[in-house]
Amino acid sequence: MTLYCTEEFKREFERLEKSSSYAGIGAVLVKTYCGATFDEARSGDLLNDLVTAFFVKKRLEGRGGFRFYVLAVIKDESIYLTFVHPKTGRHGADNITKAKHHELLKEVLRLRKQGGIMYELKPVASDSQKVEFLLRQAAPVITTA
Amino acid sequence: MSTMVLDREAMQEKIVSLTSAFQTASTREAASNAEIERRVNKFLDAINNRKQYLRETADNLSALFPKLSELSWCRGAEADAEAMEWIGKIVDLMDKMAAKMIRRYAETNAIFHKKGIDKTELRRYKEVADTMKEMAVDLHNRFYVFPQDAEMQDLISQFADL
Repeated sequence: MTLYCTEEFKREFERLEKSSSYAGIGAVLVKTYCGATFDEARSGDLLNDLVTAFFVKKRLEGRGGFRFYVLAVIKDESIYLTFVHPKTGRHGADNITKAKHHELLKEVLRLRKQGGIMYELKPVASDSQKVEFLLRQAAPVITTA
Repeated sequence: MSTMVLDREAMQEKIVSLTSAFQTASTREAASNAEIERRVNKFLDAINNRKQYLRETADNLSALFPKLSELSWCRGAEADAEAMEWIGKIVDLMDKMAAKMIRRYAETNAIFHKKGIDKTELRRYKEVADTMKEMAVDLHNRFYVFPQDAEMQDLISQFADL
């Protein structure tokens, strides 16, 4: 299982990590996704059945309670973290809109079909509560007919 | 300095009268204290009962969340009319329960706030209510909204190439 994230996810994650109200979001992410199998990483509430992929919402505890939006591609067992928000507090939200749903799915489609900037996530060796974002240039995934 | 000639009889009367007055006051004080204690205990019992209700409701409903999550993984349910009917009923129940809980939260919060009562159980109750409402929305979208959404159907067909 390879763990990736979009630029937007990285931006949102880093914004939350800076806030003391959402301390521990790094630990939550590492504990849930780093070292997880594909089936573990794609667990949660299925928001959209895309046939070749699953778009899943993962409800995680931690200060504020977090929601991770995950796209799991079955063929190559890739996990894309596409968005995150807390439920409460200054940056809290009840849910994402239908338009946001579409936007998040389109971004992963774009990365896989056209390529672009994305990040591979790995835990920081010296700190089990932190994750590092390794810049990757996504290459278009060629599908044979 | 005035002096009083000790009048034993008068003094005895005063002592009896004072003793009686103290006894009456003491009895009244004990009765009043017992009544206050009774009222305080009744109030504390009501608070404890309310907190127990909040705790048990939150525990019972949050235990349903994993099963509700499994429901979202029923692939192909959209093609089964009976399954869709059942899912619709469950979503409706979830909506109604969440709405009832949020009303209960608002009422209880006002009381707890006024009386300065600790809100730990109440906060958890509200979290469970919010999650119930959120899951109801997600299930409704999953089975009733997105299957009818042209843009989503187009995205699904694009994902088929992956």
